Amino acid sequence: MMLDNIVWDRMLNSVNETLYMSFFSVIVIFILGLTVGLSLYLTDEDRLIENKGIYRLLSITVDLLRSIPFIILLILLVPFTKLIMGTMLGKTAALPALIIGGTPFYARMVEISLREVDKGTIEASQSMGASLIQIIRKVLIKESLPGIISGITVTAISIVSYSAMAGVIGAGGLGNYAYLYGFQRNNQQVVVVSTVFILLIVLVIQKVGNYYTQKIDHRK
Amino acid sequence: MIKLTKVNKTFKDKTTHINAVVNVDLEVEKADIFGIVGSSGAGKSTLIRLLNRLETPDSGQIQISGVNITKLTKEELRHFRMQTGMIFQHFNLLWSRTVLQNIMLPLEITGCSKTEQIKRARELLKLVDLEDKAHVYPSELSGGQKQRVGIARALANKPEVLLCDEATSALDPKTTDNILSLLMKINKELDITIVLITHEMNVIRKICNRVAVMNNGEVIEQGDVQEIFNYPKHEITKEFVAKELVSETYGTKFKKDHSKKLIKLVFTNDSTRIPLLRNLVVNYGLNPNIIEAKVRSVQESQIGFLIVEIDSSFNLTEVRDYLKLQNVKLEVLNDAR
Repeated sequence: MMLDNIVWDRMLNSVNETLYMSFFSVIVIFILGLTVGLSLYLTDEDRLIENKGIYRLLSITVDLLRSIPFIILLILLVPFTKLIMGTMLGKTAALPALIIGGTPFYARMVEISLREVDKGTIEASQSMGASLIQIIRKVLIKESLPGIISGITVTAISIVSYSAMAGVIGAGGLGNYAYLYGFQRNNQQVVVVSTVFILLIVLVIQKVGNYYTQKIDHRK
Repeated sequence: MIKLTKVNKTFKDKTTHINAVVNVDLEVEKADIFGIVGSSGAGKSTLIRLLNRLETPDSGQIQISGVNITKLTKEELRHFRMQTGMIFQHFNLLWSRTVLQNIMLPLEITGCSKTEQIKRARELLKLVDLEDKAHVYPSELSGGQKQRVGIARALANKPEVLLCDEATSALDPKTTDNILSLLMKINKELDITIVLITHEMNVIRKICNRVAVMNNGEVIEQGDVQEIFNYPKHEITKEFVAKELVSETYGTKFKKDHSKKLIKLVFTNDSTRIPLLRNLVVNYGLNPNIIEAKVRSVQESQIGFLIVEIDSSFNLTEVRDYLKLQNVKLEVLNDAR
């Protein structure tokens, strides 16, 4: 009989855990990444609040965190995770690593989108007497929104795969399930079905992301 | 209305040192359409940005409606900018907003109520003749329509001054004329002072009453447009006036012939009404072949030129005296090619 080696309760529970880990970390990454990305953009040379010191500090931190392979970051963060989460097992325990891994990645994407905002529109809003906050809210974010949305889509997809990696060192979710029950117990059905679920999640994220990116993009 | 005294602006970085605006004195009267003309790099872009302090001068005074804007605090400056409109070469509309929302942006910035914003934006759409485009996004508009939206947006907070940064340079000639007429209408009907910068003398000729010519950061000549067109003093000014009058075609398309030379006659006002060429043929035995001729109106006066080809052996001494008497300027364009 096909798929008779799968405990569906466990499987669906894993799907839930993956969704939980991805959802919460993406929301936090969105907020933090937007903040860091905006700060990078604004403090860069010739920008609105140019500040070499802050820019370099942020830029180096972001690049440093981005260059650590995720699996190493997970292990590096074990003491930190234990300290703030009280455990290094289960779905919540994966959040710090996912957030710290994902934020720099997304921050750079936000920065790139912001750089594509036409300088002329910023100058125009300055000529109208706009304040910095007004420029950020009404011009910078609005004009770079397609990039900001497609960026979070790409990030969310990476986060799903990162969360599976986190599963291997005990964080729950589909990765954990596929590894423990599929790989270690040599149950190929579990591996395949887990993969299918991951694919479905990624597909849905991509579709939703594309839909909104296109809907708000009036550039052409 | 606007008065600049000894204004200087220099851009410096490690390797370069550019004197963008040098010792500029300028005076713009209320309801003027004041044109600043110069080739690219002449400093006119910086100069116009000094007028709403998108650039801050290194030294000198800028008085606008009696206020020295170089001394404004951040908040005062924002307030001052709300009362100064600006339009741009590349329109600088927000693609993320519809036409109506673009016009509402300056009103949002000043903090008008939503109903007030919509009401005012609708009025402005009517003024620039784009009522049917209210809910369209800028990407669906033509260049001329985009500039109309730009103008409506710049007028939203009822400014006293409108700054135009190469507002027609990205437009074709016909659209340029439409936008220029709109600017004239705004100047007359709303009593708004317009300061514009351009590298095209025809823009100056068509709508400005006063003009300043810039070169290497300095204002080398300023005054009434008629005066400058008729009696340009500085070499650069003469070039600009001539470029506006003489199309560049004759030089390139005209076949070289060593037995001939080209002369240019420039007429102003009265001299445009004399049968000059006939007199030259009958009385001086000139044998001209007409290459190009044009008469144009500059505000209320006329200015024209005539380019003819004559034998290179022809002695022009007598002709010169006659022309001087008639107030016609003679210039040999390419003797002995």
